[in-house]
Amino acid sequence: MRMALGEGMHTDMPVEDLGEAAVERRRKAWWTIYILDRQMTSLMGLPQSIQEDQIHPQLPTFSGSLQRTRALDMHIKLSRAIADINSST
Amino acid sequence: MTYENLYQAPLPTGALLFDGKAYNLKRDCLGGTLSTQPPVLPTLDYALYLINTVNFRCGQLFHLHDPDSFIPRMHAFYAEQLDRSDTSSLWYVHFLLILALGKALVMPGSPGKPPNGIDFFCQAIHLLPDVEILCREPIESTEILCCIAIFYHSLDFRHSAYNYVRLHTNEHSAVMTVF
Repeated sequence: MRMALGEGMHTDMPVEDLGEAAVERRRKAWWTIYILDRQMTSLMGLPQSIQEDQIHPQLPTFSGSLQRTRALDMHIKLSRAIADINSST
Repeated sequence: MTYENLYQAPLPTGALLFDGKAYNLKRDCLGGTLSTQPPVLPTLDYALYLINTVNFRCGQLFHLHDPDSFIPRMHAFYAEQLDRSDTSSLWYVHFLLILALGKALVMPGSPGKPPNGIDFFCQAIHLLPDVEILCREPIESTEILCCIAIFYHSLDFRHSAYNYVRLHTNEHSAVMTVF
């Protein structure tokens, strides 16, 4: 997570500067880290490392596969719900 | 809820502290010295099969490697099989981790035996470079650390999995300060 933050993956990285392929890879890596972080933090009962309002990257496009993007979106929403429950208890 | 339903009593708090008890990794690889014999790598076809298994079972949700760079590098590695000069690279660590996950997914484990893929996993952990090297390749490093976290989590080593997801704190801050 901290390595990803240091790389700026929690931001909306500029496609025009880095290229579509590089940004797409970083988005996929970021959301993987996000899901793992939210779920494992909840399992451990510990505070979150980053707040939702500090997270800005878009969803990856998966070469036009809308299904995969939507499936990932659902898992992200679930992870967000888990984080909300974790922070409220 | 299951415990309460069976025993009509609340679950004892101590029963929740079972992290790392499913397998004795210290005995198998992590605590002792690494075996001088590195694990035998699979053939190219079987390696592709293991990677595709990981893609199918985990790749729907988790991004564990970039196929556009990982697969060509693997073909090049197998083509230069006699040289093996690539075994100190970050890619090789990544490759071992994907193989470990693939073996764990393909072959069911047996009670009392080490988990499948543990030989590749242990070799990868021992070859994992320090933070300063990881910071030079942040994308591949995050993919590697995610693989490690998922493997640890699947073995019920939740503390270790959590720490690899959160890696790292003071050392990373020090490196960023220098630059």
